[in-house]
Amino acid sequence: MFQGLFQYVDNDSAIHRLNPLVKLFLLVPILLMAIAATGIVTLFFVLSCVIMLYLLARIPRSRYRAILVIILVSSFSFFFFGLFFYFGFYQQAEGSVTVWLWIFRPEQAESMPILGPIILGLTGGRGVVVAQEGLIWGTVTTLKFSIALFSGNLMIMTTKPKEILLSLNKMGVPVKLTFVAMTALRFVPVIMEEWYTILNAQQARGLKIRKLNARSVFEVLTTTITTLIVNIIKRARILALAMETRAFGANAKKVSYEEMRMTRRDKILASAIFALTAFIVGLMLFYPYHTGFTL
Amino acid sequence: MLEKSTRQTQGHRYGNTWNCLEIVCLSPVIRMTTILSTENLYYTHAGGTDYALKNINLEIEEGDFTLIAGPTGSGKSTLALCLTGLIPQVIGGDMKGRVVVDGKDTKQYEVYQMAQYIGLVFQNAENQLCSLDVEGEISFGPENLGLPRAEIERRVSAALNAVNLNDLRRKYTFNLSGGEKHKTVIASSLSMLPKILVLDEPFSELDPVGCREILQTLKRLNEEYGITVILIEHKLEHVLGFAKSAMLLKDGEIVASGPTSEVFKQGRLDEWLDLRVPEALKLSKELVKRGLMSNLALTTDEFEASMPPSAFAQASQKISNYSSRSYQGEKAGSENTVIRVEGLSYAYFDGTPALKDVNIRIAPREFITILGSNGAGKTTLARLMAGQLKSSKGKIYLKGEDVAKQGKADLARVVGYTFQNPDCQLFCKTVRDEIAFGPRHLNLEKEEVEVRVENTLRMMQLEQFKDRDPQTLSRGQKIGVAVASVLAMKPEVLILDEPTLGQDFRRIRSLVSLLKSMSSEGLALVVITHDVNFAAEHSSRVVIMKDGIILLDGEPHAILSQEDVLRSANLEPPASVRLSRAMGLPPLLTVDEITKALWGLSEVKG
Repeated sequence: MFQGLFQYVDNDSAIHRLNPLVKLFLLVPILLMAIAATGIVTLFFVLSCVIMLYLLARIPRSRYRAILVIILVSSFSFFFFGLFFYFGFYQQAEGSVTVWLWIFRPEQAESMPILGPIILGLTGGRGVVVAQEGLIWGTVTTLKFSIALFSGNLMIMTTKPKEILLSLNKMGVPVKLTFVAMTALRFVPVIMEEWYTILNAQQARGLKIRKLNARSVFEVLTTTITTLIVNIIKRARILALAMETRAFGANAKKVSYEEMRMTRRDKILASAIFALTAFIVGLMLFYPYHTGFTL
Repeated sequence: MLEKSTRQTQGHRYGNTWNCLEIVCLSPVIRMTTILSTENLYYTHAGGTDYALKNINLEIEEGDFTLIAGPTGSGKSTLALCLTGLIPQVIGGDMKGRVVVDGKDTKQYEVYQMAQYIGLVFQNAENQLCSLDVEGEISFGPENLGLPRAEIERRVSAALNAVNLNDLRRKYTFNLSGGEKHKTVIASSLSMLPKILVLDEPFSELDPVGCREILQTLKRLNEEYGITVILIEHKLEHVLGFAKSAMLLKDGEIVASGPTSEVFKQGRLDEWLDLRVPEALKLSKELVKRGLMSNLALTTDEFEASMPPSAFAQASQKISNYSSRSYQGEKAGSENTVIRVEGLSYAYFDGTPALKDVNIRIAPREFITILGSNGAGKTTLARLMAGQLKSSKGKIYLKGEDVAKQGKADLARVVGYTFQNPDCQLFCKTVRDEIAFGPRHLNLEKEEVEVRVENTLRMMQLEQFKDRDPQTLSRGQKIGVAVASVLAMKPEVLILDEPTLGQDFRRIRSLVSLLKSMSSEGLALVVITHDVNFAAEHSSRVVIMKDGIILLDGEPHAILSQEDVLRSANLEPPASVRLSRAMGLPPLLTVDEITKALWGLSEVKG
């Protein structure tokens, strides 16, 4: 279900061609807005802008599916919390709330044997209600989460992993650290395949995964992870030798063959992003309540 | 070969004096200089007491193409590590004697310095790739040397040209085929501009197409670029036509060395070294002995060239209907079919079809070999039959019941499956536990589990290893344990995915004889391989696959003699088919069949 999530999409679009540093920089105002905005309309506008960038990057529809599934699942928990527990947590801070339906009044909860104390503990003794403000809170949180997920994923889907790592190097992250990250990324598909093979091999010898109890699940996981780690160590030994023969760790200063140039367009866009960020910060500081940008 | 050597002596090279990747046509100059030598080389592994290498004295000429052959455990890979300086610089143990590469003692130089003179390509290409894309992989070495960007670009382009990988420059390494991965690793070694390239069993995991690609690349590097090639390999039939000199290792010692033709035309290779004797050499020895041929032939091409077409015309008429093998298995009818596959299709996540409308039936006692190059759909078909994948279309019936309605664990009672990589299917602490794992999960009585484990240990000759950790065994032994762990569940069908990879001739032979005895008791065997000779020698039925469809399915003689179809499926026909045709005989599958047909002889020794 989650295949294709957080994976590079090989296209040649305007977004793909942007310098990765500019793309990283673009995340700043987007995430700032997602954090600061409180109005549903404002957040919806920001999300629409991010989706426009997806269309511009020509991300295939199949790649939206996994993101939407994650949003759907997490929005369920946001709405659940917002609808049922918002009252308990925020009543005091927000003043009165518009109660639509009482689920557990405090006096009802008090008379319940086991669940009662738990509910009262979770809601600060105020009980559980379905409240209008809770619904709004759920919507706002879902929108904020969606903006963060969509924008972060856009960066990954339109930038080659190697370019992301090179930009991290440019930002001062040590080469050895990014090299470790690159090797890890390179081996992700191999290790995933081995993980499934080891599990399949156990099932091919009669292990019934669906009928396992907690102890057996622990045993299967330990077996699978141990076998996987043994294999990874074996691979790492060969990889280390192969890297030695290609001068890894030689005294010379490592050069990066791939160069990431800032084009004129990149520079203009970076300036625009900077201006936008300054504008949003200005709104947050001076007109928070008029624009819905509050912290 | 040296006439074609194009090494430039004054090229601009960082840290060296020549430029191996720029072809400059020089006038022929014959120079026989020693580029690599060892003096009284002895090596003992860390913590070991026996010598892994004993008294190795070798000299390799510049521009040579040397084959180092020997059985598993003979010290070939250890020798490669010594030649490249990884022993003693990185790997511990006790090394005595000297290794001198282009005048430099490996003890005096760091590995990265030696890497600019001698490159090493390990057996498994996958494990050596550390970058995400081909270009990044090739530029990795020069980047580490801190070379100027222009020089790195020049080296990357030249290395890509040398191995014909220009089209894949930006491709992800994990999306490459086996042959492409090997070429990338070779190119990344070439970007260090070595004078010598050592390759440790590069063909062990490649299909015939991948083997051919790599051999042609090595030939080109050797002949056009003047790079000295040292190839460690035990699949002799692939390489004998290319190697100019050869060296045979046994128990860490050199037992024969010299020009390839001299080394292989003497001695009894199969008895000495458990090496599979190339068919042409095996047959020509018999013919020379009988005075029917004047010279021994190392390769099928050589044999064809020296054999007059009408030499055996008379014999041909006598044996025109020859077939040495009775059809072993029961014919797969509706009553006795164990597995019935109908209209089966399967597609990968991205929609690429892996299988298209496949139909096949498998009966007890059959020994079926499924042949095809990488990506033909062999493993997908096998995994579907073992219930490891769910088909997108079509049905699989196991003894008449739809597989889709059964769990993987239930299927395991009937279909045993061993994976290509034994490391992924051995997960218990001891061999005994490994074999007991299946029977225990079938909920058998404790006594019954014990009996099955003991019987399987005995049958697979694994008693001496029963308390060992399976991960500490050799690859051949691990495959034995993997097969044993499945056989202990007493399946009715056993599917083996590439059981011959990385195994020497002797181990394959003993595994097959065990499996055949099981087969005669009712077990249906399905072996997935791209080793055509394996199919020719052992199977009772052959299935050829290509691009997700079954091209041919039937009796080995009928299938394996269709050279055109085999070639269209990127497979090589068995050498004996070409040999028998060259003799004017009907197509026969093994040298044994040819000699039996002609003179009623059984096995001919090498």
